[in-house]
Amino acid sequence: MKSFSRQQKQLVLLLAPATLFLGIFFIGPLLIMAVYSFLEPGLYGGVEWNFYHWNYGRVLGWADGFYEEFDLVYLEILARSAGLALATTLLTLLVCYPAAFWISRMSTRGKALCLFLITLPFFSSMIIRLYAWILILRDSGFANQILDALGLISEPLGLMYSSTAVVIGMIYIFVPFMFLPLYSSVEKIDGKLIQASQDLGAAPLTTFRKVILPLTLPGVIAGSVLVFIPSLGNFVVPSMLGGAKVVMIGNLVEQQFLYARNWPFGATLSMLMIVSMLVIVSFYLFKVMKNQPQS
Amino acid sequence: MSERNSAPDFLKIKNAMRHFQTPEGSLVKALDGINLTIAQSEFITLLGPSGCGKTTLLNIIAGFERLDSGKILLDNSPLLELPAHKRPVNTVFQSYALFPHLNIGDNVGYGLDIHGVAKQERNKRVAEALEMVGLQGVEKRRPTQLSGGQQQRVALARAIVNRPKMLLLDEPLSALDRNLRMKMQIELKNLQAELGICFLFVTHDQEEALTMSDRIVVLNGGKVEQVGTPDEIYHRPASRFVSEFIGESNIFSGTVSRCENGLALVNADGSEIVCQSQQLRVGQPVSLLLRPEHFQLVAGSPASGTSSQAMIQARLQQSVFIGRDHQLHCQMANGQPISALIRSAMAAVQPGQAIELHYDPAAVHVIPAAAQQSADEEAA
Repeated sequence: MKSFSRQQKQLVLLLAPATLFLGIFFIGPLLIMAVYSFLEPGLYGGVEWNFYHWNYGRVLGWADGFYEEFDLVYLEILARSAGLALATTLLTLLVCYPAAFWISRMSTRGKALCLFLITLPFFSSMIIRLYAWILILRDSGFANQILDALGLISEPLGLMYSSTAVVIGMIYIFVPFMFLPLYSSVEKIDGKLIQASQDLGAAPLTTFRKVILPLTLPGVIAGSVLVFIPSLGNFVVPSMLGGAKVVMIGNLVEQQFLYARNWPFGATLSMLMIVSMLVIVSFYLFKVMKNQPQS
Repeated sequence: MSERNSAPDFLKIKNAMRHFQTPEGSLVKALDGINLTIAQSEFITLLGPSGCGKTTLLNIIAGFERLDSGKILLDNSPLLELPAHKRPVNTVFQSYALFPHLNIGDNVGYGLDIHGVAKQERNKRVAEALEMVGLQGVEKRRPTQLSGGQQQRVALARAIVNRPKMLLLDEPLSALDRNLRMKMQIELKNLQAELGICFLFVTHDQEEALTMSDRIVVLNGGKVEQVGTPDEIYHRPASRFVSEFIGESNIFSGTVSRCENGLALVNADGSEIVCQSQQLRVGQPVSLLLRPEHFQLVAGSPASGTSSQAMIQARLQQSVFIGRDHQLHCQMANGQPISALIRSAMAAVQPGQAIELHYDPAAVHVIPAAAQQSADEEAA
């Protein structure tokens, strides 16, 4: 009988809980979803156990022309979701990068306070915080009132139920997810490296490009992935701030499962969303890593 | 190496002032009216205890900190108006500050890349600089793959490859072990001679300063205590602070009791010290410095003839073997401790034994009174 080394046994013991948990609660459902996406929808919900590829046909361009119809709108929604998620990621990055620098230079007490403030929104429900945004963004809301009082606008901007409102809401929700990984890599930068770069003749922008950005890249990557993936599939923010006008892929999946009761098609849309996430994220990582062959 | 004449006033610092606010709200004078002139191809060391302002001064020349008031001229043009990245000086950092995401070649070539030096020329100069510091063919390695000493050399190469007008070194050897540090001291000195540019070296290690420098600037509390060659600083310290900070010292304070034939007799708390001086007047308070190596040991025997006055009677407390010499810790009759360095072969004395420490009156250094007063004020 083959005997295992002490180290191997330890490894198995240490990894067992995570493996079991993920196996049961993550891989399992994912497989069920993958299988369901190839099944025929039942007439009153549920599924018929027949192989059925028209679900994918509806989205990607083939249809039987009888029960299932090809419609470009699904791909449009997928593309719009990806676009909004991308915009959210970029804008969160823009918001968090300077803030991370500013906070990393504070005193220990200031840092602790700011980190606490960043995580403070988690203390209340996301739904309540999004309602607060409705109060701010609606036509009679604070934003329009202030702009009106300042004489900058003569009629309401119509911010609510638009892509703008959705992106604002998502930036608000996802700032901590970008900030924390970014901050941990920004804080690790040795100030002497920035001085060394200046000393060797690099202007501030060059120092940023050649030293600061490469050294904080792990944080930028982690933050972007943590923001991009959940914002692509998010359905709470678009359904509250986007209304019926801004449907994102998450809302579509929700509708298929809960209202249309077409589980196979919902599963198909989810699978397509996962695949597009994987494609975009791996393309991003590939691009970023290629420019940084080191480390 | 330099074809130009070595300008004696290459770097001029005029009345440099810099204050810091402590978190408690009090004001600390990091630089308190520094005036300094440095020649073009000089190895100059800023020496002082921590908090004396030496690193602040270096950071101000590098451009990492600003000056409250005062002027700095480098090669006759004002330096302070330039941002750090436009100054013709380069720095070797205490922590080396090598870029961890770049390999050694790219680290050394960083400044050349910024200035758009053509690739071929750039690679040639990087290789030359690495060769100069004794590291060939490491261009492809990462900083973490090198030892501390090697990283130190890379940091040096990265600075000199840009051919700065002046090299600033911020305690660059403090992280190295003793043997390597001594080796690097000699190498730095040779490198400076070879390049012919000004090295401004900051250290708190007086031995390091004495070994390498053409001139030493002793700083204390943001003020210049003394500027001089290592020999002047060691043998003719301008203040009590300098004499105590540099090397081991025995200091005797007292008043002049008699003057004749260019010799002055000083009564220091009961014991009499003879020194060679024309300036001293009877009744004047003075401090005298005698280095431990200026003593010769005469054990117990009665003093003979002319040298009878130039000696100190003491009791040996402890004798420590330190290689070629023995260090004797003694006590004078008035209780003042005294330290003497005696050749081991001559040091056959036992603790508790009464001994005579003879010295040459010419070796006794009179610490200037004015400087001493100000040093005392500083201490108070």
